[in-house]
Amino acid sequence: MPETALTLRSLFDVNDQDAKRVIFDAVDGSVWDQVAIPRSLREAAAEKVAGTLNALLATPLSDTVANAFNGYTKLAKYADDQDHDVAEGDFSIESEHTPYVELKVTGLPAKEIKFPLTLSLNFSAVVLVIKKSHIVALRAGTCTASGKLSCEKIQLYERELKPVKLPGELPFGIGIRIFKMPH
Amino acid sequence: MRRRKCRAVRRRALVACLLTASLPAGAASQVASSAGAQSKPKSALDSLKATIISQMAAALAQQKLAPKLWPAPMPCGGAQATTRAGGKTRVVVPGLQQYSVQQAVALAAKYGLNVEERSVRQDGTPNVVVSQSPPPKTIAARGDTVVVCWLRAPVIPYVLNVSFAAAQRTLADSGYLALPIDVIVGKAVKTGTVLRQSPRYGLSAALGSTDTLYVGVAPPPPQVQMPNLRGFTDDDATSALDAVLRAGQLKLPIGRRAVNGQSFDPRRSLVDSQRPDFGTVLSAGQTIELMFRDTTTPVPMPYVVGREYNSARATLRTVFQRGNLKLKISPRSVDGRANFATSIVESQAPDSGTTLSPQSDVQLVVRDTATIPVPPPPPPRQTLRMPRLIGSSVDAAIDTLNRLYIIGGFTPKMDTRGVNGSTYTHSRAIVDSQFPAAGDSLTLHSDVRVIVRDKRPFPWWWIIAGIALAGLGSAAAWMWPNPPLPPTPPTPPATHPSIAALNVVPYPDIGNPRVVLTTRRGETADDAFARLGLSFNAVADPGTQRLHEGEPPRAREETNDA
Repeated sequence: MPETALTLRSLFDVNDQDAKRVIFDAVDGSVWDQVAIPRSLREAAAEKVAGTLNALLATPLSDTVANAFNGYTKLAKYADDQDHDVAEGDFSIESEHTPYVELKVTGLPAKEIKFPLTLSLNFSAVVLVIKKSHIVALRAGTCTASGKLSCEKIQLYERELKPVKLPGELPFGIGIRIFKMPH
Repeated sequence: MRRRKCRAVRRRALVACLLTASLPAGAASQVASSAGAQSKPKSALDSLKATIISQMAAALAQQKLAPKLWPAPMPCGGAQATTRAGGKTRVVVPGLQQYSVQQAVALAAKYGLNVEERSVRQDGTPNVVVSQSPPPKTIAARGDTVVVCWLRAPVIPYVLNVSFAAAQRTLADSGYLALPIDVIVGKAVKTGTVLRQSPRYGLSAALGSTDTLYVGVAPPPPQVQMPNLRGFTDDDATSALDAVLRAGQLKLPIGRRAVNGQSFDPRRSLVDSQRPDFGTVLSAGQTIELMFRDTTTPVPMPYVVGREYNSARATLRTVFQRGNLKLKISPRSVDGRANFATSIVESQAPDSGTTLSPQSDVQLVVRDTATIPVPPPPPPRQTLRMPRLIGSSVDAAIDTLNRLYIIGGFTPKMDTRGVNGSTYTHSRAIVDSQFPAAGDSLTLHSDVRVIVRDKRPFPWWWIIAGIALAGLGSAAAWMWPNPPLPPTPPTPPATHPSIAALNVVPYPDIGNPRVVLTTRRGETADDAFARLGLSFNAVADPGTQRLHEGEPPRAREETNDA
């Protein structure tokens, strides 16, 4: 995996077997309560749902961080045509996601199997790279993360607060536009 | 003159007295007699004086001086020492009592006397001379031996591994009198030998105290049981019995006789029965009897069909041993599986009753009971609810009941009758009422009765009216044409319409909508999902973020190179 492809999935080291078991229970409780279906098919369905976990958590970490800086008015003074490296010090980001798997059965309304995810990222010694009124990258000294991933109401994985190995620079793609504050 | 003679006689008598005081009794009497002899009386007065003097000397020698010349016996039991004062330098024996042995030896050496040490166990200060012989102030010659007795500290002697009598004697010699005896019974003890003593040897204990000896005795002979000697030859049976009797320390007579009371050859006979029986505890006074049977007696083949293989083999082994034959079994499995532990004999050869010979080869055909298929367990009971059939056609009702079989193994038996016994047409009949009612619980073999009635006659006149209206409408359209309609978008193909029709069974009479999905034989999960219309669509969520400034990191930091 390249260094820039840091996603939410890479923060949660989920065991496939455990995930399958939890998802099986969750799907049983939320979907198959209305449907009589053989266990083999239920297991296969749980396996398929577990297989979508990578796609569910494919949100890049840079997008999450970038969304947090979206509308960050404190950087309005750097909204010019110059390049800046702003030492931002320490900050933390709390992020909540609710990806879900939509399961459709003919004859029944679609069911959503939700995977609530809460994430807390703590950055220190952050330097924001601003180019032409766009925050284009983040250079983090250190980053620690903790979080919790569940399937419906059953906890799937809980990440303790521990360091995240970040790449040297966390690019924000085309960048986050910084607007000048009206006087 | 006479007075001078009397003085001389008196002086000799006194010398004799002095001499006899330092001499033994015999010598004193001789001195006394010689003193009397030397003083030959020349008159009756002189002879009377001589007699008186001799009697005085004898009396002095026997009564007054005797304790000094013959001391009391030594406590150590040794012989009394004797002096040889005659012809040698005389010394007076010093008093050695209350001296230590070394001091006594040194003191005696100064007087030119030898010392013979003897110890005695008595209570008192140890290593001190308590008596001597000859006693002090005795006239002795240089080189004589003085026997001294000194006290030895009372110590319990070592009496282990000796006989009890010897130990008792040794302890008595050492001053320990009471000897209570305990007994130790063990396999490896030597009978009558002291195995342990208490207090330990070498310890100092007061005289007269007790020393407990533990003496080993032979254990009682173990109980032995009569062995099973059936099938044994005479030699083997004798050896086995000897071993058992030796273990039980028994000597029992063994009687041998033939089964039929006739004579038998021990070399060709085996023990057929025994008395006492196998397992009986043997005791003294019993008699063992062995009944032998000649092996030339024919042995019939037993019947082992239907028995477990191991049991049959044990029986055959016993029978063959009885006949002194060598067993040779050729087992064979019916289905080729060779787990004989769980097999039963299905057939045997030779047949039962056949006389066995040394060349007999027993063939057993076995069947493994584990290979017999076990019937599957009955399906778990499931509570089923009677579906609502009212209003549906007879075929639909039958189809609905058949689906119950798919769910829970329910085997419906539907009895269809017309309303009030009227006739009905199967293709046009609909369910008018049902028993059990919708929602009632069903057992696996419940009977379902439905009352059906024919549908109402088809309303043909409505059709005719509809056709007429349609004709009028088309005529009006021809007369007043409408603008062309926009092209209709192509209708997307229905996803698995047949699946919905086949596999989805709605139960309108049950509160929650319920769908039954089944699989087909040999169908993979993906195929089943495709057929049943299951789809999985993963939707990621970018989420919502909140930024907080200035919060310090709460864990140990890991530095990354910027």
